[in-house]
Amino acid sequence: MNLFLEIFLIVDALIIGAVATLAWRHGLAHFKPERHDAEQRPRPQNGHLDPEIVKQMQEKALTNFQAVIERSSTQLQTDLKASETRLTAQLEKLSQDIIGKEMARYHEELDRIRQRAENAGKSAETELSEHQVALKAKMEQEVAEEKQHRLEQLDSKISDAVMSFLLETLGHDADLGAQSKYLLAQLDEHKAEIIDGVKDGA
Amino acid sequence: MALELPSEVNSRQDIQALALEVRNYASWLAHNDIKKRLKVRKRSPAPELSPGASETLHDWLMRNPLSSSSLDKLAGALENLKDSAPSATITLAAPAGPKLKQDLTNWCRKNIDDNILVNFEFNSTLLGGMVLRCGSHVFDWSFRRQLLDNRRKFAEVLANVR
Repeated sequence: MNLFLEIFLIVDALIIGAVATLAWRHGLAHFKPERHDAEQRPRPQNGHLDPEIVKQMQEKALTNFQAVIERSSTQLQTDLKASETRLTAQLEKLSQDIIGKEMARYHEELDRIRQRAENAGKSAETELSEHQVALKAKMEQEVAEEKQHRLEQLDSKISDAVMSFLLETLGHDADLGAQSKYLLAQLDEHKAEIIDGVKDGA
Repeated sequence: MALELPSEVNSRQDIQALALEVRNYASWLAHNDIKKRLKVRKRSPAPELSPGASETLHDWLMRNPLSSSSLDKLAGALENLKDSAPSATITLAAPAGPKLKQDLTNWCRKNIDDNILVNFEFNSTLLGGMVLRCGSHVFDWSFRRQLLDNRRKFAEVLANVR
């Protein structure tokens, strides 16, 4: 497109140059005509032109010249107008093409970005829901473990509390008389261990 | 000749005391002999002996003559026994009475060693039962140990209560 425009402008410039040259030459020819050989040779003495005729001829030449100039000028104006119209049309078409292409590219980019954003949003949503599920499961497990741990601690503490209470309460006035049979029974029950222990110690 | 300790004599301290009594008696006997030879009228009464000392002397004099040297030999044997006899320590929840001490000592002498020495201690935190220590071996049959070893059962029993 740019090449066509350039060629067109060059052709227009050539035409304008040619027309201008023609006008200049006509003008020059009119105001400073070149003497032809016949005019340069001395005029025969025997024939003089009538000044009236000469004047008429000059006026006619001037009129012709003016007509030529006007015709050339009109032609030039017409050509310039046509060039202007064509140039304007070309420019309009060019700008429309460019704008159209840019708009299309813009829309394409926008669609791509929107699509990417949608995909990212979907994947984020999926990840979030998976994470929520995992978190919930982990939390439930931790709660169960903590509950079990607390129950064990509670059992242990209750046992310790009861043992401390018993130790504290029963730690006085132990009746050995009532236990003598029990003590001797314990010795009989573990006789072998005691004898081994004494032998090892010896 | 093997000595047989009476059941009242349990620990090293008891043997030490017994040996001291025997030596005192030997010393009195020697003095009494000298006074007898010198026909001194005023003689000191015989020292009072504990039942254990009486029994030991009685057993000894059945096989040996009554003389201060013989009694010195007995005291020496007792002191040797104190150092060489095996020993055990029984810890009870309260101070043991003489009967219980005798019973436990007799059991040990019957089943472990004829002349084993038994030391008695008490620790009220045991609540009941006893702790027997022989050399490096410790046998804990106290109520406290049983309660502590079975405290988990308390939680199980509690869990089963409806």
